[in-house]
Amino acid sequence: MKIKRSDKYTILVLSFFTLIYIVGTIDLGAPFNQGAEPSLSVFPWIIICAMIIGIIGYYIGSIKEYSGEEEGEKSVFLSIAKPLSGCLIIGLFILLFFFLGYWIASVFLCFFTAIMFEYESSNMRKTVIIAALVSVLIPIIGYFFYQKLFHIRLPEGIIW
Amino acid sequence: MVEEIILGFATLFSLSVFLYLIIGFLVGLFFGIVPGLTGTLAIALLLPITFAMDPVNALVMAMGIFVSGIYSGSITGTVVNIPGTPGGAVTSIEGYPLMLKGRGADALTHGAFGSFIGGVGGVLILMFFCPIIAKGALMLHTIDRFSLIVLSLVAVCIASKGSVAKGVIATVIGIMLGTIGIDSQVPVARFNYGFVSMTEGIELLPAIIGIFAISELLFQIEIGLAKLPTIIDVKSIKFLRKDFIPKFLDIKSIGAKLYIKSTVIGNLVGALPGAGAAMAGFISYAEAKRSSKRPEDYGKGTIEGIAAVESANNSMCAGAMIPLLTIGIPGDAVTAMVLGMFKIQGIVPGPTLFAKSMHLIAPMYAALMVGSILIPISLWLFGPYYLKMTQIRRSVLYPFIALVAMIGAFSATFSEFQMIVALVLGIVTYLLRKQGFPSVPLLMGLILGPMAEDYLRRALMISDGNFMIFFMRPFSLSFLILAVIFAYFLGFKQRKVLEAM
Repeated sequence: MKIKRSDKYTILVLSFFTLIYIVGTIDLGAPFNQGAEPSLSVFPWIIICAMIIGIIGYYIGSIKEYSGEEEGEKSVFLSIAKPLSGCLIIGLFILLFFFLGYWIASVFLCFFTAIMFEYESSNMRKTVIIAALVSVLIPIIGYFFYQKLFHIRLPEGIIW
Repeated sequence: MVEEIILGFATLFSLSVFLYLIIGFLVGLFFGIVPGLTGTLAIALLLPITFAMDPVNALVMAMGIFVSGIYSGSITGTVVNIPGTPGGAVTSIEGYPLMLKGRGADALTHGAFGSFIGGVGGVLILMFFCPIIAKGALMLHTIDRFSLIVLSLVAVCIASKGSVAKGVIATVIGIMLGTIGIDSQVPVARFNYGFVSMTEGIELLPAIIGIFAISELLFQIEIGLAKLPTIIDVKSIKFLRKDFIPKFLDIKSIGAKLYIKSTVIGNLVGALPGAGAAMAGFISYAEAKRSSKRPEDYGKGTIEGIAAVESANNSMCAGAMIPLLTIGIPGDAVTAMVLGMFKIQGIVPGPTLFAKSMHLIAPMYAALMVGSILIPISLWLFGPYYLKMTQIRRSVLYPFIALVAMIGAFSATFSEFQMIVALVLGIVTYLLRKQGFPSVPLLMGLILGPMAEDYLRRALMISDGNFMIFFMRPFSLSFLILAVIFAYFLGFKQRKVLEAM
């Protein structure tokens, strides 16, 4: 009854979050109040049941699909490293956006996102020039599009 | 009714509204052509700015994106074998072999002509059936509505790509996310786990941006590459405008029957929640192959196959609007976003929409139809440049997408928490997609979950907690039986047939 390692982790993570959801649902009390009136937890209990059925179905499917082949740990790490950097860039953008304002945050986001797509290029100088151009032009376009055209006020940041 | 539709066309042809249609059409065309971008993503990114727009302009623009995004998703599938959308993947089965034979222009021409026929035909079906279904929807009780949502959720689970279990899990995650925050009937915060910010719940727009834009961005970052490599030498191929005029003999050989059949199939599949363009195209393609006099030619490059898929794809656009407009239940990711647009503008979809807001619906009909007419015109105008557009530098494109996505999440709510929600949902969706889970059911669960809960609790209040009430009303029972039939035939039987194929 073997399954792929990635499937095993997926089932564990899904089960963990379902457990957290069950704890939250227990906090809401019994599914029916006195007089058989449905409470806040009646629907969450139903979807918990659906989730458990889904996880069992996924587990059975994983057993059926298992062919004995596993992905190499190195390739998994490499495939995660790039999107993880992407998450960090966006996370830092949110932080900078509220503390330092639109301009600095958007220049940061555009520069490093451009680098993420250009870094495999052999010409480092070209990579930096493209990223620099992108990080200047796109924030300007964004500013005119949102603030000037649609009057969406972008934060100036708490520093100034 | 006819007068209102004529007025809708008149509204569409006023300068500002028509300009929004053109803008939406061009944005959808661009997003469909560039690999990695989709019309759905375009609407997700533009959704937050509709706060500041007139409802007619916003809806017309969305229809423009929808029509051209679905059509143009097949262009890259045909010319470089990198489909822009899942629906485009079916077209590329026939389109790319034609391209390799040096008949790429023919493939694009019949794709555009099929989209035009399917789009216009689909809108005619929509115009005819919507008011009838809307009148029928007035008879639906709260209990029936819950069962109808159950039917929709079942359809979403089984119609999505991947296994049924993955569809169920993705849908349930969406529903679970929808329960976070203040309850709709009792002012109590749920599932906030002591975090005050989580009391806000998960807003629809940041969720859409997270699920569609940020997850896609993470996928593209993983691929990296400033430019996508292509097998064929793009620079060596040139299209001329005169090649994009369809030949009468070709259209005659395809036959009116195939166009009509594919249009009807696309419309019906579109009305099925969660099905989308890929399923519409696939079923239509399979039917065209089955009924063809030369089925052995399919897969080697036939214009019949392209016509069938593209007619169904674009007819699906109108079909997907049927459940949204008549019952208030979105049929796919794009109509889910249109529902978000309705919410932003304070419009309540459902049977009363036709009585109260026909001035908004009629321009939408008109936009879907005129958008379809614009497809062959756009091919003639921009066709020679399509190949160049597929080669756009990704290091310029994706920083732009990243910025628009994040500012969009901010402008929808002005909340730091909701920006974080968009990022977290983006990461969750990315990880789920990596494991082969579909993303559309996640959004559908998030939208349909709160509606289902509301109807369920109201129904249980009526029945004093007796669940048998859902089996006692004829409409409700019919929907539940249909859900079981769908699950059996579309979920298990169809998968077995597909595996056998």
